[in-house]
Amino acid sequence: MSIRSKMTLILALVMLFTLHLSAQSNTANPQLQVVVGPEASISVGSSLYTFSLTGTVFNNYTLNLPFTFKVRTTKSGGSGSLTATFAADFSAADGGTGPSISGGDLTYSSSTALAGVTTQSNKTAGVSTAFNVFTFGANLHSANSGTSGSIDWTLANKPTFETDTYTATVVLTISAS
Amino acid sequence: MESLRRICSFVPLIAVVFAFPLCADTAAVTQLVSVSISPVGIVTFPAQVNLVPGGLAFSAFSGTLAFSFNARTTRLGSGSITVKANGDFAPAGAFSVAGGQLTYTCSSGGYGTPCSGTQTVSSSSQTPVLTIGANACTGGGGLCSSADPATASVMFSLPNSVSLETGTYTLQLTFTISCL
Repeated sequence: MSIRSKMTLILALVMLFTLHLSAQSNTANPQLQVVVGPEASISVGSSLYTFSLTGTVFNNYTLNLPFTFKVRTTKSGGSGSLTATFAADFSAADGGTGPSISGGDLTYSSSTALAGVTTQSNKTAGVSTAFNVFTFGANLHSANSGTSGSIDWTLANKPTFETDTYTATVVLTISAS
Repeated sequence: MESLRRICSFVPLIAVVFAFPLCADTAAVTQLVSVSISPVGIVTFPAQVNLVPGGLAFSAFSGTLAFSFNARTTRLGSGSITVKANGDFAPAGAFSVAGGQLTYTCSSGGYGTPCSGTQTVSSSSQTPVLTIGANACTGGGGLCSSADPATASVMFSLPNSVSLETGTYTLQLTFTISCL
């Protein structure tokens, strides 16, 4: 074997091991971005709540409507609200003449333990127009699992009402900005 | 006659002079040509991916980071793509990588084995995204990937807590592709 052949063999061996031992790595650095914005949600436990009558005769009917809400408003300059809307007035199951929301027979008060929420007291409800239940200021946060709130409804009990079952649907809308 | 001989001897001389440029020669030389083909990997990502909340209020933030890669491994080698957080989200105080809030799942575009289950991004160690087997190569089909470059994706998820303050939060990641 000539010297040149030996050198070629050595070179080939070196290359052979180089092929198996060399490793290579590269990196890239993408960025994750999260924009946390204002959000709000509300849940009500039941689809039907019934007014009750307690105390002396012709006392007003009362109803406590509980709900759980979550809210996060913008840190600076944010706001939000919880509103209620009756799309239509009470309807009678058997055609009776009874309480009227548009006639001012239904009033309400709202409450929650969450600080920074403006509640309502003894307000008169209306039909077709949203009315305030809560208003929220900037950087307001409910509990992560939700915060309890409620609306106490008071319905007039007039002798002129005909006996019947009356129903109305209320839509609660919560918003945050 | 003497002058004719001079002419005759002159003619061949001229012919030789002009013949030099016209003559051809062939030489054979054996030259060893070698190329060192090493394992290599390149991974390409978009500069930024946004994590956005789902359709329902306070649903988790999520976003898919699609990427492409070229890889070549040796016959006995392997390759991997890993991810690591460069610190934590900024500004601090909202999301916590150290607290294990940033999780992800992996999927491959048909080449390589994606990470299994839900992984948690760490700022102290690299966590798996994709593994590549021996003798891997991208492009051309067959044993190689059909797509060139090959593709894969990572879907990140972050909890959307009500207590978070509104704002924009960012985190830089380092993806590393290694081939052996």
